[in-house]
Amino acid sequence: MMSAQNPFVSRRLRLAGILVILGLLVQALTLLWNHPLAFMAFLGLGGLLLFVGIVVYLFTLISSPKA
Amino acid sequence: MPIWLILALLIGTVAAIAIVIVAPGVTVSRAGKALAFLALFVFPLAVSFLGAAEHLDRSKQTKFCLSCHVMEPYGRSLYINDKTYVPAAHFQNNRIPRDHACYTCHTNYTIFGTVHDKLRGLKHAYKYYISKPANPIKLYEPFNNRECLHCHQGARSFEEGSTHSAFMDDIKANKMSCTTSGCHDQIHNAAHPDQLKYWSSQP
Repeated sequence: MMSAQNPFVSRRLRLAGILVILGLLVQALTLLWNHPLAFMAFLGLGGLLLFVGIVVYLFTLISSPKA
Repeated sequence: MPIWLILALLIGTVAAIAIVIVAPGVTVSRAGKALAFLALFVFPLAVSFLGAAEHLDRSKQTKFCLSCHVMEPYGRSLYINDKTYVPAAHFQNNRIPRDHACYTCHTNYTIFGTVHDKLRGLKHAYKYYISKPANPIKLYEPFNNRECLHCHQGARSFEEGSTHSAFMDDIKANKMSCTTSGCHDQIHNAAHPDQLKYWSSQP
């Protein structure tokens, strides 16, 4: 069971959340620009931040201490 | 999907993530765990998928292709005031959708054609911004009749044309190109754009 009171879990959740939000914001900005570079930024920067954030979250789920 | 709807979903996702960031303690409860899973996994992937679909759809637009400087003469050639120029005749007479002109003729009408095109698009972006684009630009391979036949096959004017009928098997088998010299061989004239007359102002 994941315990959010655990500082380790809280820190990881915050980190994952921040990374995912940054990724989503980058993707949102690229949607306002119709250009090949926007597509590259969507995939390369936004997608990467999102992917890392989700991986951090999933890693937190499987590595969090038992309650 | 409308862009405002994607952005609205994105804002909702950010708000849900903000709850987890500000109060990670909520994830102790079952409902909180579900919220975290939705906010940090399901919603971001869904929004990202919708955003990617929007970008892919935009990449089919004529103005997207012409946003690269090297493509400008090809975009200009769509306005050549001469009906023997195949792209110009198709574009000006609405035989292809004008806002998807490049994609309509240059996509690969096979099961993975769009994916194939997008991978080539990434290569184009690399060549344009990091390496150096070929000058003049060339097709990767000779133009395949399949792309013409996607629309023309079955059309009365095509099927009943005497020249077409005489070579129909070879045309359909791509053994004789539609762009063979003497047939539809006037394509984009990007090499000498200033020597031509144009139908209207530039795109």
